[in-house]
Amino acid sequence: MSCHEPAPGVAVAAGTPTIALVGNPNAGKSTLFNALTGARQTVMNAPGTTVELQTGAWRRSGERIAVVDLPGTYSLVPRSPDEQVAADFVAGRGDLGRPHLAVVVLDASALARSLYLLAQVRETGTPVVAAVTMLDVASTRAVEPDLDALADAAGVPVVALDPRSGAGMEALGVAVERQLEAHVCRCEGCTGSCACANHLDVPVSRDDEERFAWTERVLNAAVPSPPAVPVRSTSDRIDRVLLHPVLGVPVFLAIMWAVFELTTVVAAPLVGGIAGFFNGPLASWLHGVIPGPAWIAGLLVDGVLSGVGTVLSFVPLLALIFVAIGILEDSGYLARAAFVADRALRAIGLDGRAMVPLVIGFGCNVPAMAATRTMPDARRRLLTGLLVPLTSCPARLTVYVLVAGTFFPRYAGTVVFGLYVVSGLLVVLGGYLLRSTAFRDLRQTRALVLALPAYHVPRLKPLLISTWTRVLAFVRGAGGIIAGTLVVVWLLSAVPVTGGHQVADVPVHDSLYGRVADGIAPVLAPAGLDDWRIASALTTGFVAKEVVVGSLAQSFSIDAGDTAATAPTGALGDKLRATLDESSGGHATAAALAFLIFVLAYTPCLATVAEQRRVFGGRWAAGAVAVQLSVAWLLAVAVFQVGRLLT
Amino acid sequence: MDLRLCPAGTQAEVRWVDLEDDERARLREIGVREGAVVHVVHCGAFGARVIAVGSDRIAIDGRTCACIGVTPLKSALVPA
Repeated sequence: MSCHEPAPGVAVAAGTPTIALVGNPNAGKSTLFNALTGARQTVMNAPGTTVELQTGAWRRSGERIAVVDLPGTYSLVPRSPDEQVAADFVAGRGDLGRPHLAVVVLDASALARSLYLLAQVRETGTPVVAAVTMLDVASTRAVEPDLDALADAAGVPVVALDPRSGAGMEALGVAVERQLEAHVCRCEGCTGSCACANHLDVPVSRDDEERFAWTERVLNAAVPSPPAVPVRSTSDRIDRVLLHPVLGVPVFLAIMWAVFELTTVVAAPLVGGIAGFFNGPLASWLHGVIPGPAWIAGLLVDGVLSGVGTVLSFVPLLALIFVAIGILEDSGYLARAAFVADRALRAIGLDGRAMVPLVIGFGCNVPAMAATRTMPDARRRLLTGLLVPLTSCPARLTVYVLVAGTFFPRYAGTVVFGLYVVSGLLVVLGGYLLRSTAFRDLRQTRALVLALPAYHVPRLKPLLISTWTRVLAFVRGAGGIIAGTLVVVWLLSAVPVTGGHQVADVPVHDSLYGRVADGIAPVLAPAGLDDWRIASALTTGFVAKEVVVGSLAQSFSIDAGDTAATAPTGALGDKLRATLDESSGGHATAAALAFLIFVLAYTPCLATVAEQRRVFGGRWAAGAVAVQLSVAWLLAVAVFQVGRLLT
Repeated sequence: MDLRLCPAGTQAEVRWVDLEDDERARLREIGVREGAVVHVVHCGAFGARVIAVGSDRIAIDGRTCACIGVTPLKSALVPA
């Protein structure tokens, strides 16, 4: 290794020692990261990838040490983009730079496979400290490793650690400081020819058989008399129920249902409360106190404040979902969920872990996008992230209820149910099409081989820290886009294009926004939706589906707060029917179905796009929007054209 | 016989792994390689198995289990 290479890719200040946490999935690496860094964390994507890395600062003896939590991996021979990032960083390949030290987290209950990874890390030449976790779990399985013998045989410093309780953290700190002292160059203006280079380890190359032999030798030294037959642990007994071929599925569905309820029943009042406060009392008060012309108050309140309110309204929802996912992950159930749901998702090239974001997507697409992080493979994460917008969130339900109630009053429930079925079919079909085109590499169904962690009671503090870090990442990453776009929408709707109106006091059709809707309407003609009010509602629906009904009411000059008028049997329904009758040439029912399909299939909301951009990058987010609009248009046209022949 | 046919409690030696190179390599890395002794801890749906490799627990889907040839040794799992 060269001590003169900082880790530029992970945005570490020059001269700051950098350590990487390396380990198998579920070895306790992220718990250790939280314990070391507290709330001093940043979530970022590795350069040029959609692989998430967490970086943070660990303060030791007044000095700052940068800590990078790498994706969990079984090996440095990578088989997914996430493993590639971990392998590249440890070995100093690619744009990420190189750590000064690797802390390899060894799971005492799975020492053999942990040692195999340690063998590979040692071969890179990067200095190593080994931290042995899960000693309590190993003990329940009658495995008591001798850590001194382990250190001697492996030739690296070894410390016992329980990151959940904090035991062993000081010993880890001392071991890390010693290794950094020995390996990090401190000379000013170092050119690489200084004496410290003598301390560096030389990379070596071993083949697999040599590595297995080394692993076995070290394992035999550390655990000279392992139990001949595995001991049945408490986790095994719990798994008899949770992984049962019959019982496992209803338990899994019950847990998924609970998560879904969290995104709807529990979170909805909180989201509504915050949005209501920003758009209600706070907006009214600000309108009254902001001096100057009305358009200034309009811009600040209906543009900027509305944007901020929208962003903040997602905070409780995201926080709840992150806590729920954290509990599933920390407890050890998430790996079991992947195992139970695996078969059902194989058809669309995903493994069982995709079930969690897809289920959350039916509650709200925004946290579902964030929940894709539970998947260990960036390509499958991306594929899931592209499918999530096809899951029908409750915001779309308001539109379904209005249109289905207006046009199919006797079968409204069946139509709404049918839309949810179509949503599920679109996910399956979308998965199939994506695997046949941009994701051909995922066509081959891969083996599901999962190490099952022991069950744990989740710890509150790391859970809250992790939730806080991720919510903050959403507000910073997606917040600006959401607020900025809402300001632009306000400006468009505030600028009059016909005479006799003032800025911010103009009917929709006489505003710039109305002109945009006029321009879009002809594009919707093949779907029987060639009307500026429909185009305007769909354009507004790009921002949020909750406002589609309100936008229609506004365009038809109906008070959106009048529940009788906005009910399917009210004035709004009558006007909508008359409008679609005219725009479709007398095939209003077919046009209504086309409208419903368009609402189901096109971009769910601005917040989802912003989150998609944050997680997967701008190029994928823009491409996804383009595909969603195209698919929605094609489906709507097909539904209308077929429906026209039948009605 | 293949692993998919082993009931819970079976102790077996792995004889062959008939998978693509990278999948075979992953199994080898986590301890499922020729000559290794594994214990079937649970049977999941569609032939999936949870096996113990040492004190480790590994879940493997049914299709992959069908590609792992084993020779049963005996049935036993010690209660804690």
